[in-house]
Amino acid sequence: MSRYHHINLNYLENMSHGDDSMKKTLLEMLLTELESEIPKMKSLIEEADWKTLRETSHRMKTTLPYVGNQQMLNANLEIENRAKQLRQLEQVPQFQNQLESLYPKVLEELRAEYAKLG
Amino acid sequence: MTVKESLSSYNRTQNVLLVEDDSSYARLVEILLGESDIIDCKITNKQSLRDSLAELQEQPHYDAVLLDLSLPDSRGFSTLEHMLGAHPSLNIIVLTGRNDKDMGLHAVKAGAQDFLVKGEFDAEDLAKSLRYAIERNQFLKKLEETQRLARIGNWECEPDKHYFMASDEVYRIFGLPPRQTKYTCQDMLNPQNPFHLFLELQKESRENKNYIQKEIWIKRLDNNEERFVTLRCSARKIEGDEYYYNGIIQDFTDLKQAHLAQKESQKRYQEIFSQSYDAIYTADLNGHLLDCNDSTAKLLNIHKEELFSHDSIHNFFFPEEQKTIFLQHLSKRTAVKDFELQIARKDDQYRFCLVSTSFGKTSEGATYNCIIRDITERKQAEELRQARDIAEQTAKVREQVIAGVSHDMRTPMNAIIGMLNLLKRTELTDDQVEYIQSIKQSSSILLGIINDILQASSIKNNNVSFESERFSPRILATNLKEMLAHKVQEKALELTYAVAENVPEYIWGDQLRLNQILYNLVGNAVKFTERGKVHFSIDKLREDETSVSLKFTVKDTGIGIPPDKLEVIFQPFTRVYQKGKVFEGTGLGLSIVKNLIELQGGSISADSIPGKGSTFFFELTFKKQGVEEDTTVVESSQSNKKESIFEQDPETTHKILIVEDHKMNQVVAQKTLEEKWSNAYIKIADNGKKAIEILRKEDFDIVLMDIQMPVMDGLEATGIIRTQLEGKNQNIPILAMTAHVLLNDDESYYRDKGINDYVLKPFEPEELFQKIDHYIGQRSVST
Repeated sequence: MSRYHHINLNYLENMSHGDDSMKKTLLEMLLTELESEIPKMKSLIEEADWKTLRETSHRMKTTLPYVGNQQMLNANLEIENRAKQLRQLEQVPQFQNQLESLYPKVLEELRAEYAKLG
Repeated sequence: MTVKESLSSYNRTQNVLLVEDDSSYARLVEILLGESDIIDCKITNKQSLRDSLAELQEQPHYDAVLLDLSLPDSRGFSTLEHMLGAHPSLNIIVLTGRNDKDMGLHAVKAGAQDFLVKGEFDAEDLAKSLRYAIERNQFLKKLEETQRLARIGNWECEPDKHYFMASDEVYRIFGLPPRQTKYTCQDMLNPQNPFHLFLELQKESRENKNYIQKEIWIKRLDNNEERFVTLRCSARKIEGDEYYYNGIIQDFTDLKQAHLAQKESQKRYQEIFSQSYDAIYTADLNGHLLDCNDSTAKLLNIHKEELFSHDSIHNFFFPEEQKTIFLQHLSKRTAVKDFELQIARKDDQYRFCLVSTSFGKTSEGATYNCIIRDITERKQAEELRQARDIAEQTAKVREQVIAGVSHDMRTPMNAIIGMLNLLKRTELTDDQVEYIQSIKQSSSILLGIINDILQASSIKNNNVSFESERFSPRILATNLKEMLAHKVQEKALELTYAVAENVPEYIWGDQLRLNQILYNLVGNAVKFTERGKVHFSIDKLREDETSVSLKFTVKDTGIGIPPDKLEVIFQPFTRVYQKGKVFEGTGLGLSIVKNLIELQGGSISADSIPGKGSTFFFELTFKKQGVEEDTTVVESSQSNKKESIFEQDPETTHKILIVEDHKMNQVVAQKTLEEKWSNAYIKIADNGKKAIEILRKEDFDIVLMDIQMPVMDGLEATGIIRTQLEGKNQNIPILAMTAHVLLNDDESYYRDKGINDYVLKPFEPEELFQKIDHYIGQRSVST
């Protein structure tokens, strides 16, 4: 049973093909991307830059499966759909809040896994 | 109780019909009978024939009739005739006048029981006559009933007096209605008359001077049914040449049929007994034979006569423990069924048998019947079958283990080769590059061995299927040369090929299998050739309306094969040695090739001169036309098959362009593809614009295109590829790799944009491999 509560690295491990260095590389890229993109999404919402928000959210859609947090995946999808359709935009901040509230815990566990690889 | 006794004790009131027109005389009769203590009567008086007949019509069961022959409506003898005509079994006593005594005698002859002369009998005479008549009549009725029950009839005849009489039962036996038919002596003279046989009996009994008995089949006249009868007849001389004959006829049909059925049954059982393959015998409880069939002697391998002289058949039973149990069953009189015993024959052969018994009894004491079935051959066959099943099962398990282990080994081997490719791109010393090259070479050899074992295992387990798709033999030959180009260059050999002009441009068959066969043979030729050249060719052998047979030849100037090895070269695990040098491989390659050719109905052979070179020939027949539906089948099944084909061939070189801006996706896609195809040539473009630049300079087999990208997105880039590029890349398969879930719903929109297919991100590797295989395979056919 996984000792993590907020991440599930099955897909990431599958795509690493049992190669720890590959796994480490992917974790590194994952951490970098999350650390830059999630805060960026908040400022895009504040600026009402829906186009860039949609592009960022779309990128995150292929990044988040490596994290394996379903709540984050869902929240990101809600944001992308609204930014794309320009409807119910008032609900976007609440999904962004969800992402932000999960994001520190996810980062913490990803860092722990990364540290484990030495 | 005798019949007489039974009649005497018959003491009930008798019903008497008095037919008398003189009422005073009728009263007198009543008084006379009323005084008698011999008989107790109830008398009914009728005064005319008509009234009498009416009364009898209503109440036919009178015990006796006292009949005056002179009635107002009938006189004389005709009165009696009328009465008997209407009621033949009536018990009639005729009353006559003093002047009519002769008529009384005549009446008795005609069927009356007795006659009384009016005025000459007293009360006792009347009562006696009446009682005797009644008792005699009852006796006759019982006799007739007995005949009927016993199905026995009697007849008598005095030919000289023209007298013949047969009881009712005689007529019934012949199927004639009794009393309606009455045959006479005259009738018997007619050979067509059924009673004519009585005449013959009379003659024979007269000649034998004794009674004669015969058993014959007769045919009933009412229903043509065959009846079996016994006839007896005795002749008694009366005087001179006059004889009296007395005979009986008895119907024994039921008994005879039962007897015949029993005989038939016995015959059947005798046939079963004598012809049975099973040994069947009857013996006393000590095993002394009373009867046995030929199979018993055959089973024991001993003459039947000798067998009967043996003390006990039990002496042949074996082993002791089973024999003891069997004898215990015998002593307890408990029957056995399919009891296992062995028969120890004189020739020291042991036969496995199943024994069943039942018990009987003869005048000499208790016996038992025994059936012995020899199951030796069955048992041996069963043992053989079990041994074969175990062997087959073991072989199957072995194959499965080999396949399983090989498969499990292949995955890490692919990973090792993939990692080596990644490692090669890092900064390395010259030594490290050399080491890596060495590891990679060994890994490829090892992977090849594993793949060979897997393939051989698949063939052995009948897990090989063949597809039919349209392809060009010329393109196949060109590609094959390209695939082997680097190996040929390494050894500085010359590789050439020729496809005869009359070989059709396109044929239908399993292109991938053919490629595998040729790759193996040409690859072998390169492997075993150090100097000179390797040449392969395709020629047409025959062609008809639907198919074309091609001959493939692979010729080299290599080390050659010794004559003694030529015979076994296609057997598994056959390897070539040369001056202590062992060539790499499992020795399965040619065996796989041969199987793949033969499974497609073809044949392969080889010629060789050691030191000069070898030539391999094989023939395969291909269809000239395919069915459109086949394409779908091929395509769908191809994806399954290709997985194994390409996975098993680390040398396969796909050229893949990944167009993806997402770094993480770039790394994962590249690694995943290299994992699958260690020799794949992969390039990455960060956006559509860069992709087009690359494609203008270099040909690829397939493009994996992200849709949403900066600078130029995937749709725009695809549009330019399809419309502005020239050459091979214009029609290159483009596989979208996208997180746009809407693609599912609007697939045709993307197809219209020139995208062949898509894989959703995050992608499943197997899905990606299958689609790449599919589109590259399809392209090679259509190019």
